[in-house]
Amino acid sequence: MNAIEVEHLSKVFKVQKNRGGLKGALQDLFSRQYNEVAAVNDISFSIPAGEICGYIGENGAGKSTTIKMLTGILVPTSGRLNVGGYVPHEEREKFVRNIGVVFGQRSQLWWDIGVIESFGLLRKVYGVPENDYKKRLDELVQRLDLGELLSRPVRKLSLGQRMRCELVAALLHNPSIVFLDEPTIGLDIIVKTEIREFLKDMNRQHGTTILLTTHDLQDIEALCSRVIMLDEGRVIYDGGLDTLKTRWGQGTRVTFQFGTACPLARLRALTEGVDISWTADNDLHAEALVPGGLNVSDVLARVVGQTDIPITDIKITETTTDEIVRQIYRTGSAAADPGTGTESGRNSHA
Amino acid sequence: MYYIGLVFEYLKNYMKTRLTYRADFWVEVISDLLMQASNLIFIFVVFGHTNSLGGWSEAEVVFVYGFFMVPFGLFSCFVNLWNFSDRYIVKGEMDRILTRPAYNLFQIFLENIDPPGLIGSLIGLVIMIISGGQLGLELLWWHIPVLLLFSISAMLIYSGIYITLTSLSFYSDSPTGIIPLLYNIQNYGRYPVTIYNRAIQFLLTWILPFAFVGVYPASLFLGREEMLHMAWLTPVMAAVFLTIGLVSWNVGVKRYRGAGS
Repeated sequence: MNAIEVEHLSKVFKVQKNRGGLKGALQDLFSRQYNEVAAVNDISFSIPAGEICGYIGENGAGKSTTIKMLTGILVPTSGRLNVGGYVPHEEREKFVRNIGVVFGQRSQLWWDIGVIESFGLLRKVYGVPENDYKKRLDELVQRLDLGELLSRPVRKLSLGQRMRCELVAALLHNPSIVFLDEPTIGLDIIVKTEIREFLKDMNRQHGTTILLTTHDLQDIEALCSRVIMLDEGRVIYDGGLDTLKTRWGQGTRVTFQFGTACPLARLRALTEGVDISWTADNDLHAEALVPGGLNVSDVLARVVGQTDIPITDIKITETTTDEIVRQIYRTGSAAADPGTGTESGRNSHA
Repeated sequence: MYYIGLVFEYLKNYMKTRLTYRADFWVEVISDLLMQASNLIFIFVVFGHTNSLGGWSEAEVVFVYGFFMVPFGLFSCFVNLWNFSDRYIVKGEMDRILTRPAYNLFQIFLENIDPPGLIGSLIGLVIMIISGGQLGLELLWWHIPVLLLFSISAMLIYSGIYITLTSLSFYSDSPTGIIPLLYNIQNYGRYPVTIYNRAIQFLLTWILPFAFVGVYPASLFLGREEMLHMAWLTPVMAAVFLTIGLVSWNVGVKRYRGAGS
């Protein structure tokens, strides 16, 4: 069963054009000109129940706009939407009982009252029975270690403490689908890890479907089996994180430091017949790029054994997801293989 | 039932917050009262120069003012849309409201609930009793349910007008000019409309029906025959204007664009 289904979804905003100068401002007063900007442009995807899916893209790619349509905040310009059996913007009040929403940049809690009072109020708003609420709250408080924070007003909490409380607030009514818009923004590494662990556990125990947007790809690596990448309102990649890595990863980079000069030609000769590209800044240094399909040991075996090439240091680095994603953002498409610069012709079934 | 329960929950939270800012609470109450007092003093000053205003005596005008204070107090307690555009549209707090399972406008009312406003209603009742006594009005049994009906209707008329105008925030970026203007116009409704010229009478009766929040319903208790039919129109006007308000609000919410990322 799919928790979220999106078909040909678009959201177009009318943006007023401001003409420059006083004359322009006066003209604007009487006749306005508008630009139509498609924040989300004909996207389709579906997310099965129980999946954790990452939703990434540059600032302004349309991530938040999509989340806001999926949560019923915005009404789509066109397309079909189904989230947990509802069309979000049509039956908003019934629909939102089944979902939890955390906006990292915005608080769900009341600023001036104790955290526990906020929770109590949310219990009433969501109509959670007293017993369920107690059980759920105990579980969450214990899991996120909030014990002594509960009586403090939100304004006196640190960002990390607040974010943990926000999570509890969004989950009190035990939603089956949870939307997280940059849940780890501005948090330190310890809180980030804690929150990731918590989300993973929740997904395992309750089968909660999670859709999260983030700029921190470590969130994605830690949590998501699947990632949807957005650029200028379009889906440019939808699939597993592993596939993304193997397809667009640049392979492994092996860096050598030599004790005495070793020309590139010599190295090329040594690795004759193996698909490796060598680069070097000077004779004492060389870098080998080993494509994904090859073993690093093959290269090492050929170079390391030579008695006339003293090696002082070897460094092996793999392309990180950050690098891959940066590359894709820069080219604006996941269809081309940025590693070798050749057109692979593979399409990311956007 | 669900919604009534919510009112109490939010009131409870209001009290908790306010207990931490006690000074603020009293400043608000006192400034409210001072404003009402200055309006009353204005009436007394006018009647220092004349005995009758368009056929209305001082006690009658004060009675109308007292009646006006009752629905106005209810309105300022439960329906506070004063900073809606800034807080909910520009800062995007509407996002949060829309992800909760209660009617969005109702949540906004609850979040801005302001019980000190009710003190104005109480004072209004006292003013009605005093000026009614001066006029020798008799309190009949049906006055109480009718007063309740008219007060609530008048409050709903107010709400309808303000909801309609506030829903313009969904269309325009900042319709900030309208609400202060309206606050000015609404003041005219507290005085007998017959003292104004025809155009203003028409405006205050049918377009921005602030006269239904003061003089028309109050005239029933004053026994002013010429306005009797207008008085009974109050609940009808409430239904009409509240409907207009809610419809334009619901259409507006569909056009909400969110703020920032």
